[in-house]
Amino acid sequence: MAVRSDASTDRYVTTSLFQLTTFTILGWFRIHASTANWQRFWDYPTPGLWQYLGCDQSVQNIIYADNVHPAGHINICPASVGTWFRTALVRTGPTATGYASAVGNALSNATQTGINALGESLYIGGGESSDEWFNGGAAAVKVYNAALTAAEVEAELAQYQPRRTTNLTNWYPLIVPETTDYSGNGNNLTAGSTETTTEDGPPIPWGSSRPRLIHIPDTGPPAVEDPPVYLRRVAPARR
Amino acid sequence: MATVYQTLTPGSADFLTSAFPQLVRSGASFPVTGLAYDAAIVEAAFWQIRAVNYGSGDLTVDIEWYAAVATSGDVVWAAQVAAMTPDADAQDIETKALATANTVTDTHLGTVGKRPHRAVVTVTNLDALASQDDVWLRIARNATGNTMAGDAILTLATVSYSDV
Repeated sequence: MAVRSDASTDRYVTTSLFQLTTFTILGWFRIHASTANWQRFWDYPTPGLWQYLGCDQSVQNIIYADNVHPAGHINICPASVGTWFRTALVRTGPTATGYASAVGNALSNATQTGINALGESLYIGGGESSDEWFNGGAAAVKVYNAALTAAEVEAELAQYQPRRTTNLTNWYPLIVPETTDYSGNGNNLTAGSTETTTEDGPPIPWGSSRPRLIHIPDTGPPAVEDPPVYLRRVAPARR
Repeated sequence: MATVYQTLTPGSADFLTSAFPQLVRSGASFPVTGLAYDAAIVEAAFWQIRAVNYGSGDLTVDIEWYAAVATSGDVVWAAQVAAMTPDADAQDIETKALATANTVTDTHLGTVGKRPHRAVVTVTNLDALASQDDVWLRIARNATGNTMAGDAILTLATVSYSDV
């Protein structure tokens, strides 16, 4: 399942990520319809120093935009309505690499340099700006205070449960509308003023646990035998 | 002679990019994780196992499930496999087809909607299964024959077989 935003007041927010400049934000998003403005899947700004991942007004591209490049955002991959997209943004200081693809496609990436954005509040399922709200679904959002490699990004987007736990600061499965941070760091979300709903989520498993094998004999000796008992020969008593 | 059991959890299921059951989590005292199969469309989940010590005979697939809302009706579960022998099969793994599904109809026992049930599918279409084969198991809820309304939530599946 996934959480559905359909109003500017449906966004979640956390203030647990204060001015990180090295981080990775991953998540699955599905756009339901175009709106009158651009849409922000997530937004990590301070006033005047903003950055967000989303889509353009006509849902042409998945994009990453920031305050240094207000007219020069990067297009990460083509966008479409009704399709789940796996996305990630890896930032290391002034450089950010965005990853995105429609479900079933290979990840595309694009890099932006010269970024000076500083986030203080992370909005999910919308943005700080009430007119650039997200009309769609969100699931499996994870945040790391480290730059993940491309291989790690690929692995993390393949399931809800984090594979890497080092540097994991926030984990919101968003299977149901809840604010709990499952990373164990207590960075819970604050819900918006209107309640989100649920919808069908992306085609990813919860985790990667493997099947368990049990081998039970039907008949014969037990699988684990008791240690053998040896009888000591005792000499017959003399008369 | 022994019976080999392999338990498959909802959290480890894999999916195609469409028509798949939704992952759900609930439970007041402990987490109940499941795969919610829709009533109206055929949705499928997949697991890959290795047929460790498979001897012969049918596979038995136990499906533990409960109803999301209903308290009556039938659920038709389908299980099917594709088996491949590494270093022997020349078939392209990416175009390999599944054997014909086997099905079972399980009836909701009533009274309490979310009571657990166990449906047992005997998989007779084994796709020439041999010991140590790689096996892909598909579990689906058939649309035809279903009379139970709402989702059927799979909480566990178990595959068992004889080692002789």
